[in-house]
Amino acid sequence: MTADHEHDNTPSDPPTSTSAKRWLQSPLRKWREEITSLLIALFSSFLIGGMLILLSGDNPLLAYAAIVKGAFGDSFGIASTITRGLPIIGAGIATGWAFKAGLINLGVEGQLLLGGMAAYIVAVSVPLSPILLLSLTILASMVAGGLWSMLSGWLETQFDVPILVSSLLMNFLAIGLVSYMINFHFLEVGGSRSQTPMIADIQRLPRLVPGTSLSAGLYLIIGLVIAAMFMLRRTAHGFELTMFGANREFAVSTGVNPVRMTLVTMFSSGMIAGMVGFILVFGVHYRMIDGALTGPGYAWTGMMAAIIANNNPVGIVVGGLFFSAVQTGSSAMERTHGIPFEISFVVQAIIILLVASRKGFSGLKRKDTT
Amino acid sequence: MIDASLLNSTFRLIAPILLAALGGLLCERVLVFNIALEGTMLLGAFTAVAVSFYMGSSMAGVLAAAVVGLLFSLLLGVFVVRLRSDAIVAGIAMNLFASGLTIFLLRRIFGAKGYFKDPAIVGLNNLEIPIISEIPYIGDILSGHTWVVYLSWVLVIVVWIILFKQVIGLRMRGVGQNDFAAETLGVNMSRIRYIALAFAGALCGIAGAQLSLGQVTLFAENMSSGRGWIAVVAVMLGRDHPVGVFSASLLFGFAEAVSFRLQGMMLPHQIADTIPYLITLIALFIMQITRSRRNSVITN
Repeated sequence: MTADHEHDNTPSDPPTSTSAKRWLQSPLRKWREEITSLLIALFSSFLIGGMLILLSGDNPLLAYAAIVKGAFGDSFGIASTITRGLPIIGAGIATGWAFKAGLINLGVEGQLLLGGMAAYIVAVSVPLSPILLLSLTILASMVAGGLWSMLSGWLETQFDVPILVSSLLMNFLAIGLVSYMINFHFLEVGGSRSQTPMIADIQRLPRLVPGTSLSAGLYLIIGLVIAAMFMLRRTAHGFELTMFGANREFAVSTGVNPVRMTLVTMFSSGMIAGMVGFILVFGVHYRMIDGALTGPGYAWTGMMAAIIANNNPVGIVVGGLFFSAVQTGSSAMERTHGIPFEISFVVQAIIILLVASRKGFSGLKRKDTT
Repeated sequence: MIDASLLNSTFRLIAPILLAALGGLLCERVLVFNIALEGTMLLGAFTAVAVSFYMGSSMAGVLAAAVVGLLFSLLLGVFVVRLRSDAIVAGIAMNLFASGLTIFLLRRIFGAKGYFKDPAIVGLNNLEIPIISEIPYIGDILSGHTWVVYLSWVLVIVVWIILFKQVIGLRMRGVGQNDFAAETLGVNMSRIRYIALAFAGALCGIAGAQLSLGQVTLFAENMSSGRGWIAVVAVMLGRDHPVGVFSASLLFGFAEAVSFRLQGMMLPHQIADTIPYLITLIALFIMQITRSRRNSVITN
């Protein structure tokens, strides 16, 4: 850690020869440093996690072998890793989109939940042909998540209430509201759990691999990643958003409307989160189950993927699949070795902590919140 | 509806928020935006239950929670002060770390999933204050709390004295007003930030102990449930002043007491649960409106 940091402070290593010097000055160097520091963070995290496993009386090497085997050992493991990865990647893009603009949206969890609930309500209460209904349910999830998120943005632009705080607190409101709706308005009659009845077969997203929960939501997420990449790289809005995040004053001086940018970005971020809720409800559970969308921590893991990927969509895919593999493998490890699955959360948080020592939100200065 | 028992539970429920907010206030004074209050509190709650369970002493539980909270907060300090990490990213990471670690340890040490409750966990006793408890009504409100609750009231005064009557407080306020000037005048910035973080960590640890040993006698996953964030808001509402922070915490404690009361009366608990967060948001909203009015008067 410390050595790594010192390396950061002395960017001009003594060159061994002129060719090496020229190579160091190439743009590759920045990449190399990024990846090296990431690998150091990963290695240290698993080292610390391993010590924790060792302290609790198990063999960390066997545990890690079980994680790898569980995540990639067979086609079922791989399908599970991708299935779990979809909502993580989606939530990661939702978070990363706001982070990229310097807006700290910590409300993806609630936005995702409301998106799923809105889509469910539309699916069970609007009589329409399946195709029309499918489009309407996706739309409902995106609008619900988007508006909920935009409310945070509006509170900041109009009343200076920080998004960081309002979006986080609104998670608790969304959780209470959705739990209330499940238990008091849509509860399955005669069911044993707090859950709604299932949606009709025809409304479900088709499964891609029989016997697993991998659904056609995969295509939605692939489309989302491509769209996000395209927006950021090739459109004026994406450019303005990046500029807004990197240097707000400068962006405003070149004509970006800060109120509009904040509201649009928060809406987009929540919209993506809402769509993730749709994918979970229509591709995995086929119903709303109290706590099923928030319990596994998709939103928070997605945020971690966004942080380590520096909000780059392709990086979020890699990071999201990585975290998903760790979690899926950890579930398998729990079954075979009895080590609690939650060790994966500990390792993940350490990774973020170590990565955070290297960078912050792009260009975001510490905001004086008082 | 507003009877002595409601106000009594208000004073009981403000303690965790107040303690964490006093810590957050000191951090804010030295320009460290500490959003890890939540995680520190959670870790304190777990430590208190674990130590009380194994040592059979609630006092040991509270002290251990304070020490663990302090160390955890210093770890945050290493990242924020020494390594100059982004305070927000580091704070989020520390919160997730505390959440994951406590759930892992809950399962590993106690084999429990969701929550751990055991007769061997010694909770904090409610103390009757000799003279005050005799006074009708007021005695019912102010007396009969755990010592941690009384400690939180004393700490309001202690923090006030530190900030406004001690050299270290003068330095902290100096850093808050102009960190560059304070540094040129010889204030060791890193040192003063570590001190504020250490203090905040200990307070959050104690806050967690009140949560898990005072209000209930168990540990549940993520049992701090946003109180650290409410404390962050209390610091904003209280404008970094101990008395202001106390008033803000009073409001949130009252909101929580009302939420518990309504839960038992007419509202489904899912809706009643959201009241404290809703009140927090509304309070923040109202404060910002009145402030922007005042500011516009000044600038015009």
